[in-house]
Amino acid sequence: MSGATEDQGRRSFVSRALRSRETGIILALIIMVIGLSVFAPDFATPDNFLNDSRNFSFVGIVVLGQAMVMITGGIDLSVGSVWGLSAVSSAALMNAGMGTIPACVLALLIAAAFGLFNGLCVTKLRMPPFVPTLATMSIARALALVITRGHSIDGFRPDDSPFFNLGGGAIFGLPNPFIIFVVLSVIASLVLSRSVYGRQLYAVGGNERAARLTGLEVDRLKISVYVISAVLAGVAGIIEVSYLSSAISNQGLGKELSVIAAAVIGGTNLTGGEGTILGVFIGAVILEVLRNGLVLLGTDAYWQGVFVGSVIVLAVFIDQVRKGFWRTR
Amino acid sequence: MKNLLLSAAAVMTVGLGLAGAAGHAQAAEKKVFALVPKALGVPFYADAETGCEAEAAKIGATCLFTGPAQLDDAAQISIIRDLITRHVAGISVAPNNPDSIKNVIAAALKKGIPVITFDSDSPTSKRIAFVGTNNESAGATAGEEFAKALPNGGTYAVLTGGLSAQNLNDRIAGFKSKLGPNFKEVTGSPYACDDDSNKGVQVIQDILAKNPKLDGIFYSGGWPMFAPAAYAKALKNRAADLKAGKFVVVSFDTLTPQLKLLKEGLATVLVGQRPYAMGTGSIDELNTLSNGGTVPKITDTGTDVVTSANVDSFLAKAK
Repeated sequence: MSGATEDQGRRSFVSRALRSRETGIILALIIMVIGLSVFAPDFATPDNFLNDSRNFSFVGIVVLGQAMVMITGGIDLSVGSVWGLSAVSSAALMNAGMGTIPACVLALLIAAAFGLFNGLCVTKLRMPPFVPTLATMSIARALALVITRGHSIDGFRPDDSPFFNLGGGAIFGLPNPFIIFVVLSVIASLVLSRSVYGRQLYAVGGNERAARLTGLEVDRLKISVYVISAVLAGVAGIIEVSYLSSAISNQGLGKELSVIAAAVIGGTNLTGGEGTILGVFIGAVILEVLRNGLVLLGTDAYWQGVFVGSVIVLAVFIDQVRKGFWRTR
Repeated sequence: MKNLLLSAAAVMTVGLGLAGAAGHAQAAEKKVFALVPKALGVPFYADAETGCEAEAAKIGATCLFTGPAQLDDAAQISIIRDLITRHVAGISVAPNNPDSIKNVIAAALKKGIPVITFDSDSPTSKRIAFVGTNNESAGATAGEEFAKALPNGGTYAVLTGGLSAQNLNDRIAGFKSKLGPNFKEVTGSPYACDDDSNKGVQVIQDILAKNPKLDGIFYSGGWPMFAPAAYAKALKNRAADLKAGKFVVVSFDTLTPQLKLLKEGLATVLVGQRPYAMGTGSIDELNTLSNGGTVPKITDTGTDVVTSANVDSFLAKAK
């Protein structure tokens, strides 16, 4: 808004906000928060918000990468397993005597290798994204089991090691995972909305043929998003190990579904070309507020999945309303 | 359009509210004690839930049974943090991982919420007490039954889940402590089946093929019997001996398929844990603690011993 006068700038901000894709879900989140504050008196407490902010950060970090994959029209089902694999490999490497930073870097490189494999399969071998990422979902989970043989890895660092601060500590009272999530979100958001690379991703997802014809390196762009997605899944895994101070092979189990759900709630289009970081950020927050809220309300544990599923459908429904789905029909 | 958005969001909130209102209205006066299993959908913990609810009703409190959908430490910890936020009167948890649970247990105690463990323990945490099976003495019970069924001793094999599972190794140690000098374990025993029913059956086939004159087998958990048809086939050659008391099978756990197999004569004795007692015991201890009382550090919920003499009463209860 640097070139516009202040008045114009404000007006265009308001009208943009009203038309913005995120308005619906932000509104939904606000209503949920107000509703929960009324019905569950413990919900609106600083402690609870701090807990929530830590909890949604793990899934949230992974959603950033998933959103980029989905914007190019792909999907990455392997994130939950890559999360688990880098969690146990970082702990196993530290247990084997490696330094904290080399161990984490190596674990992230392992994750990146999975992303590269997915990307190569999708581009060079022309596989539908569902297939290689389904395969690596199985492979990475199995390797996590191979590393641990089903046991947990504990005591790889002394209890007072600074490594445990990464997930368990806080800066200015804010949990570290939350700070990492916010920083990564800001970076991802700037990359997607301001950089040439980001615009090219939307172009690939919007119309791949056209993108190819205009000379974009579609294959390279696509490979890059799978690598980013896998590395972010690895980051979540390592932060979780730090938080739990223990690693087991089933970390991140089934999390690919939460990640995709958060992306979809956040307005990311499964067929590509649409999605924003602000949207998926809110999507991750909504999922956690819902989970937390249902426990605080004392909802029957067996029923909770029904509410989560309903919210996913409702969120996409709201998005369809926004796009004027019925008018075009 | 905006109206539609608003009404959709309103529906969502009202739904949430209704879901909670029922639970909350009851909870207004009564104490709420939470029972957190390793995961939902496990029959063992469903029995603990039944016990928890029955006992809570008896003392005029509420049992809140909630846990992760899958065996997931991080999800279990989030739920316990939520329970702390909710100011429940006490928490009984079956930790998925004895190490990663420590911090959240300490956090609850700091807020004045008593925490005990049930079924699986976290001995190095600050949990006040543990309610569950003493695996060594339960194994000793199994060993006594085994020795009683084979008064002259004999050769035997042990089938276990994983070789490094502490609870299973305690059971095996207790089992062996009750066998006299006439008993001889075959080489290669204990055999591990990785808690997998199918593999458990295969291992039994292998054991019997290698040791055709074996006198008995002890299972430190009921895995092979959870696949009843395959299990019956694997024991086909020894079924007659088993029914005649010349071949002895003693197994841990008393799940319905196992009770049916015992009734058909395909097992000699079953030794079962008591999840129901873990549920009732959790509520009793939490209630005592929340009233400022003290409880023993470790409570053994004991075992059920099922033989052909009393199997019918257990089968009737299982329905």
